[in-house]
Formats: sequence, structure tokens, C-alpha cells
Amino acid sequence: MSEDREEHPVSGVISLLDDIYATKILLETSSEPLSPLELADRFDVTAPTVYDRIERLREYELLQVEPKLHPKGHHYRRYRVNFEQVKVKLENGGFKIEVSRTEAPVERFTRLYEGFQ
Amino acid sequence: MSTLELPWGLGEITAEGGSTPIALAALGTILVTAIVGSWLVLRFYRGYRQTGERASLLLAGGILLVAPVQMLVRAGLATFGGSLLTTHAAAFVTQTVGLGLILSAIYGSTKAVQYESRQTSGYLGVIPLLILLPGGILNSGIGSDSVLIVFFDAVIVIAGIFVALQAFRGYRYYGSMPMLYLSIGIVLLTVVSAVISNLLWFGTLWFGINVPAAGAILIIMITDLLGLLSISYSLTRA
Repeated sequence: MSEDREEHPVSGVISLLDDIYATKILLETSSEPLSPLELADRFDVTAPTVYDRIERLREYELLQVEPKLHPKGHHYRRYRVNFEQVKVKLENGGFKIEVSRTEAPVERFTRLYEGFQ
Repeated sequence: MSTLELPWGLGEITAEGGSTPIALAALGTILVTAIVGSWLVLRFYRGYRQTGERASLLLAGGILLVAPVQMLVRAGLATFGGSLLTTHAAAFVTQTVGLGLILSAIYGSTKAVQYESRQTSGYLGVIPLLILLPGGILNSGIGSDSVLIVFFDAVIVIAGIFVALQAFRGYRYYGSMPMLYLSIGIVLLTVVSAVISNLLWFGTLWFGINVPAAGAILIIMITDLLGLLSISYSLTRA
């Protein structure tokens, strides 16, 4: 699935939710933010696989970078789940996907602003 | 330099020639604002290119309106002899729209409808109203200038405190130094700037404190400039 960059966003999201590693990443990062290496350790898969799924999840904003807790503490980024609910609707002769966010406003503000650094 | 009379515009100072220290300081402030503002635009654009999030764009636009754009609008109008009220109204509209954009970036898409280009933000609908409102009040002739100025500033102070508080909480919760300097910058640009201009305005009106017009404008511009510098600092060393 990683080769097919041109697929429709609706099927992109659905296929991610059907992907074993993508769903594992979502499950693990829903309770605590984790780095790609920590994730790779937990699933016993290679780092590139984890990076690939993270990249795809971020493409659809299902995963987000955790705002830095202690600026000096981490050497790599940690990720966490960025949604609460995904709704698939059949409307006007097409499918539509709605993603409901969980990010708190202050968290969102901090993440967006730190993105300018 | 002789004490300048009304209006509180830079028009009077520049008319005196570029030799007065205040006029030079004002021109310097405008120049620095333009330079720092352009640098911010580049920074924000680069950040937006990395995330590609629409909210980044809203936040960037909002901060630009609150800080450099508002400062240049104020200085520009003052230079072309705009009255205190016009200058204030223009700065009010710019800053309110800016604060509105920041809020819509933070709260706008908690529920994002993606991949259907039907994403709308309820907050953005308020913006046309905010643009029309001051103009409407000015035309209707209700209230004296003082009432209007207090109204403008009250809105800016409340919205400014709210946004700055969110930024400060970002610093408290996540230890984010950029958010600390951002909140300081927003407080200077909205709250402090508005309070100072009110003190000067009512001080002159009621207590006859004679602050030269040019000096008053300069104090506000310097406050705003410190706010702008705090924001740009937050994106470099903080």
C-alpha cells in the first residue's frame, strides 16, 4: 500500500484502518505518546515500516506530533492519536470521510505555533 | 522641538521635517516593523509549507494582522493625517480580524470534514460583521469619539487577554518557551498598547496632562514594537 500515493483519500483512510501496523500504532499511541523507535520495539518490526505508517497516518492527520514536554528531554519526536471518531458517509453519490479531533485547543495552539520555529 | 498640537498624527511631525528626533524614531520604528514583518512572513510561510495545515495558515495570518500589519496600518494612516479615531478604528479592525483568525485556528476545526472541500469554520463568519461594525458605528454618529475609542479598546483588550492566556497555558502545560514569548507579545500589542493609549487620551481630556501628540503615538508604537520583537524572538532563540 505504501507505493500507491495517488489513491483517493477516502480509500486511503479506510485502508490505513485496515492495516495491521497502522492500527497497532493508533492503539499504542492512544494511551501515551511514543517515538517511532519505541513503536518498532513494541511490534518487533523494522523502523522503516513504522516510519512509513506514521507518514501515511500524518498525511490524513490521524496522528500528530506531541508538543515537547521537556525541551531537553527528547531526542526524537513522539506521536499520538489525533482523532476520536472517523465517520464514513454515503452522500450525493459519493463517499465522504469525517474525522473528529480530540486535540485540546491549547495543545493545538502550541503545536501549530511551534511548527513555525 | 516645539510642542506639537493636535491631531495625534505623525503628519504633523513629518511636516516639521525629518530633523526632529521623534520623527526619526517613528520612521525607524516603521522601518523595523516592515523588516521584522517580512521576516515573519517568510518564517510562517516556511512553517506552513512543512505542515500544510490550513490552521497554520490561519494562525500565521492572524499573528501578522495583530502585529506588523496593524502597526503599519496605524503608522501609515497617522502619517497621512488620519485622525486619532480613524487610526484607532483601522487598527481595531485589523487586530480584531487577526485575533479572530487566531481563535479560528485554535478552535475552528475540532471537527474537520475532510476530503470533501466542505470544511467551514463558524468563527470566520463573524469577520465580515467585525469589519462592518466600526464603520456602521462611525456613520451612525452615536456616541462621542471617546465612547467609540473605549469600545474599540475594550474589545481588543478582552480578545487579547483571552488569546494571550491560551498561549500562556501552552507555556505552562508544555513548557513551551515560544508560547511564553508569544503571549508576552500579544499582551503588549493588545492590552498594554490599548491601556496606554487610553491613559494618554483620557489624561489629556480630563486632567489636562499635556503629552505631546507625537510623543503619545511614539509610546504606542514602541509598545507595539516590543510586542513584535517578543514574537519574533519566540521563533528564534526561545
